[in-house]
Amino acid sequence: MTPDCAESLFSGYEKEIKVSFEQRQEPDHKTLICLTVERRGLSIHSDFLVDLTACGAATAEKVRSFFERYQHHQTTPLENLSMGAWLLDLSLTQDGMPFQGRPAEISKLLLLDTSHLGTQLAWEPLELLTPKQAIFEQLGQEYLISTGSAVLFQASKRLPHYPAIQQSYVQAAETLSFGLPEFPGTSPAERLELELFWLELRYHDTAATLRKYDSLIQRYSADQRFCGILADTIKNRAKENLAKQPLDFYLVECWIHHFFWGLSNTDRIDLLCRDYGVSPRISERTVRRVKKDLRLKDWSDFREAYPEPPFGVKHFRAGEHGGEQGMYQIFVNRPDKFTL
Amino acid sequence: MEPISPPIRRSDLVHSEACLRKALEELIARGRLELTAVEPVPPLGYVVRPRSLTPRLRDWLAAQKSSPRLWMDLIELDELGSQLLIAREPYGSALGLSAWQDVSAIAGLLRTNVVGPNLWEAHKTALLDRVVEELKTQFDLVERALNSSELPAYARTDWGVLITLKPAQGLELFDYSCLPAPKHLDLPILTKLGGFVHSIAAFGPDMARLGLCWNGFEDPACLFLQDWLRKTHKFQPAPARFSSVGSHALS
Repeated sequence: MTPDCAESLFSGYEKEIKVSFEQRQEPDHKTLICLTVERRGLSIHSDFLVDLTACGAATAEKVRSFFERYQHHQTTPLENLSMGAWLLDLSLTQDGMPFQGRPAEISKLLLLDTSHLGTQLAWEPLELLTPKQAIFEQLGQEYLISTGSAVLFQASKRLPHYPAIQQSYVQAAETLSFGLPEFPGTSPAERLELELFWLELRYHDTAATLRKYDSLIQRYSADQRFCGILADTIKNRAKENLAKQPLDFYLVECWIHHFFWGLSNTDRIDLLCRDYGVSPRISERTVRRVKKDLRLKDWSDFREAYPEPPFGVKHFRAGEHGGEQGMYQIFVNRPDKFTL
Repeated sequence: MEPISPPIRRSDLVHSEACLRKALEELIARGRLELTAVEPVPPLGYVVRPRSLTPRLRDWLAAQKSSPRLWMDLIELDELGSQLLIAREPYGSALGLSAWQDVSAIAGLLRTNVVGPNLWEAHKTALLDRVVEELKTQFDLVERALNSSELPAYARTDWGVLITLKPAQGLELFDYSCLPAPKHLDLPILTKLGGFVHSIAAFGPDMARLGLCWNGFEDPACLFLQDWLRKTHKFQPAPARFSSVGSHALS
């Protein structure tokens, strides 16, 4: 890993993870790095030594230049994050830690993976998510509880490249439209605010939403169309939406919590047919295309870590394990191969 | 009437059986229930799923002396101990009728097959908290740290919620949850409550503990309580053994 290539790995995380440094020269050409990482109220502090003289003059110059710019507040959050990861990687390498163990350790120290902080089996707190993410998180939690696969889900978070895959899912969730009412705002920011308002009004707590968006409601209180949409949205909350969702909705819903990111396209299609009644004639090419359009990352984007899908689906016959026809279980495919 | 010869069997208790049938007929009449709403569950009793409660049945139920149980109310109907269980949410959406000996079995059946699924539909991922809330009110539970020794208490864990009570309260909790009295106190007792909620009970000499968790978290919860039992009883129970309270499937 170099400081530059680390940037592509952590793109997107910089919005949530704040990294700050202090550095001091120590004897034996070593540099003491004091790294502080903050994410969603959690904070972790690590002190470690690196020997920059051992990694080539050009790289050492890059690091020196980085710290100079950092002191003058000229570095971006993404740069800080990727430099933090690179320095940790360098320190762990110089400490003699094997390659296989390093990504997990770095993920923990940079709070990309927070499972070690005593919240190992806790759910993602819904209030920290955007409304769209919260809907998918809610659906995901319901699926995990009803299938009893929450422990496997937590374990899946420790597989290689999970943070990048999860990030792609978060971004894909934000691109979905949810069939919201079309009401033109005066600016792109207001359009976004309106979109979130309709979404929260439809799926979240009504009173809390109305309180939260009071200023928006005041702004449009004289607009009959706005008031009509508002009333209809509240009225429609009671109606169950039986209309089938498009494939992109299902793919995003299933990507993380239904382990779709680690399944083959054949298994994905099979589960989509079983769970959501999606036509079995849907082709692998269609799934691939929708995945590509949504920019969802899966195991196949990391072939060096996953030569084959990390999860598989086992179907049970009627009566097997006391179950009914159509029961299935997701299993880890040759776990030794993918364990960090 | 034939004399009863030893050993005495349930089938010898003809009046209890007759009372149960009488109670069923009375229920059907008061509620003007369609016969299709009644599902016999031999040999336990009957499950009744009325479309709605008539005012007459509602008034009659309200006039009976009932005692609260987990998710349900229990009414003793007659001197021979016929029991009527009524789902509390939505009130009367399911009723169970059984002899006093079978009340825990019929309650388990109602919880896992009717009341639990209804509550899951209504509360989804908030159901576990709702169960805790109900038990909190019933047993005056206070939220404390996981390692607190003050009783009664409950604490959040990484697999669910741990309730700690005095041993006598633990048995009360079993009664409240309509669970059969525990046979082996040296092992955690796993019960599927319904609505994807599981309970794991364990009894130590000084305290009883009840773990509540979602479907899928039974293993960490059982291991936690097994570990606690091992330390409390100073011996090692065989691994991967636990008592399990099963439930009959509705036909």
